[in-house]
Amino acid sequence: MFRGLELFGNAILSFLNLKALFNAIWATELGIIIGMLPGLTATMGVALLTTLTFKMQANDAILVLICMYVGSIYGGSRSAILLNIPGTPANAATTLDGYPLALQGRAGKAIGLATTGSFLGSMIGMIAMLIFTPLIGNIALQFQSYEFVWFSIFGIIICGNLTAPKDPLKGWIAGFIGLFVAMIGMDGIHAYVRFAFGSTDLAGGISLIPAMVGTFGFAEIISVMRYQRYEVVKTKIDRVIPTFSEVFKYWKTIIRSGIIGTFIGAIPGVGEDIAAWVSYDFAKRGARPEEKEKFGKGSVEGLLASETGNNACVPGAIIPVLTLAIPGSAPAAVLLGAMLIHGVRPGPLIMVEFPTFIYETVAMVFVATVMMFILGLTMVRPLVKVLQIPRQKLMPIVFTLCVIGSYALQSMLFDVTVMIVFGIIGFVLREMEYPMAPLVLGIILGDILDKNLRRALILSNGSFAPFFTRPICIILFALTMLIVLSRAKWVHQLIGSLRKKGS
Amino acid sequence: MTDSTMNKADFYTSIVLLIVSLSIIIISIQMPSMTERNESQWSNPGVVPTFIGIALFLLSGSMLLRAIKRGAVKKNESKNFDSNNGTISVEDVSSVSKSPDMSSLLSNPYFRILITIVLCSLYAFMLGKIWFPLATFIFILLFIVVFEFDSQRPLRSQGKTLLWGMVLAACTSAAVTVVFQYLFLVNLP
Repeated sequence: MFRGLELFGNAILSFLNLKALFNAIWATELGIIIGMLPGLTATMGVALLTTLTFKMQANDAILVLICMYVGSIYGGSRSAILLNIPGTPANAATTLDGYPLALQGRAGKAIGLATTGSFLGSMIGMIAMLIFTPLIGNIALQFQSYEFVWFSIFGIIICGNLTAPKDPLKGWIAGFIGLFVAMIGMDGIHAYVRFAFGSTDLAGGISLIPAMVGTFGFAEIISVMRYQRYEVVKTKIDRVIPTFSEVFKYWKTIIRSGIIGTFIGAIPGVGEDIAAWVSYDFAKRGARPEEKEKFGKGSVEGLLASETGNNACVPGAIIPVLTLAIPGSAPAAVLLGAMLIHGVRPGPLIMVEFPTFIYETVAMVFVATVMMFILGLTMVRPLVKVLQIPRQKLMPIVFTLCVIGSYALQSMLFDVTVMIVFGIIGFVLREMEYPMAPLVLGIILGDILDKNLRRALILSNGSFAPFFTRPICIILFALTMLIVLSRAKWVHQLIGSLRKKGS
Repeated sequence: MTDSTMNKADFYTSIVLLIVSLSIIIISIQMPSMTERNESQWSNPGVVPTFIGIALFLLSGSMLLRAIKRGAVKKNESKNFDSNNGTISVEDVSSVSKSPDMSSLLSNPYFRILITIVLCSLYAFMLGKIWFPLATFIFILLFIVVFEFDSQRPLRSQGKTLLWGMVLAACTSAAVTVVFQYLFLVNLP
């Protein structure tokens, strides 16, 4: 424990130099701007910066990406408050109370509270990250192929279930489509080319970054360009910095939302949007009657809950990235890709191969959170002007960045085509209410599933028994079945009829 | 989308997915077993795609059954969909086809989606064939001019839009090239 704190302290000290602080400032500010512009999501921001930073040293590059991640998830609250449009999906719950507060002439207060909530949420998540990442990392060392197979399937099922609560079937279909996309190209054991149909480009496989820039970038551009304009609330932004008592009054909500956000972040593929909604829902249920009535009409507690929840999710989503190489959210998936590009191999062996890296990552989250808090409370008024840029002027610039972001990593025009194809498919699927997070998670988990399922079957000589007899496998299998059966109509009918008979 | 439109969309999507998943299973089964290389038959590259194909088949099959239960195959008399929710009515289509007015076209969400996809795809197609800064300049200028064009106003009064578009396109194209190529040492198409 004390060794961990010492490593964490050393890591923070290593970032207290001009170069690192300069990188943290511009990346966080850029993150806030990207987050606040509807159509530019955190995933896209992190993906585009991955391209920009791949000539940097590993620690500098990952610091920049984490600052972008933290900044953009927070930045989305600005447009949620001033436009009633969430800048990123993570801030959808913020619109419910942020926008009414702005309409009441309290936009400055709402921005200040959102900033404080985001700061406290990130801090709670960071503490959880500091405590649990090494613990989970040590447990993960005992995982074998059987456990990884179940983790992959469980990840798709729970992600599909939570990101498509109305229709989990579509979430699961999206996840399995993602797994199939990962099968395209050479397999990892025999280098046998699968589903390439003679194309040399497809034989190399579908890269994660172009696919993600397409589904989260180009698809979003198409969505944004569909309508003509949005209106910024005309309100005077007065005092932004909240008083201590204004925030302390809701300490229970903040701690609860922080824990919920971190926990949801740690679930594979389930991102900040779900964390914010669940935190908001819990806050509403737990609120005093007089406060409960204000929810949806400008409740400070509701605003704090959603913003604390979504930013607490960020460190939470990085925990499985470091320990299992399984992303907790879509931006964390890009972060995982960036770590691999920079020669860091996250996963169970991280505690052996890069033992200090976990603490360095926690320190990066700390630096990003502090920067976000400082920048969030300053430069509020000039940044509002960014929201007034017409979309027809902004979106072609964004698309140019999408093209460069897809192309630059491998210098292949095929990746630009992948980005466009995934953008169009992503847009159509989203219109039909298929969530994109399971699809992306599937692309990442596909390789893990492919190698580990075959490896496990070779080890067991084709026997499926170890998949159902090892302790962690039993737990993961039971959880997977529980999720699937809990959403099946016939199971509900069966339980209902059994209850009737019983009574 | 309304419930009935979504149901129909689910019906057709599930049929497509059933065909895709069956194709995945057939192709995967035909993959070499690798036993001729003295490898375990379980290292066969088709093992996991077969599993994915079966799972996708079962999921899309249950979506198809659900869509049929909800009446996706029944004849639907209603042709008017809710235009506010992103769908279009017959009247809307006829009014669009009768009137060549560019402003009304540009307020049609479907037309805007189509134009966005076409312009972006054209830009991607130009890359590698035309010098990157020039391709970027043309793309940004076209994008701004097309979406800011107002057919209600005389052509001469729109010179300002064209001028501002050219300035923005030139600045962006130059800035992107300089920043990415020389500052971040990134290869450009």
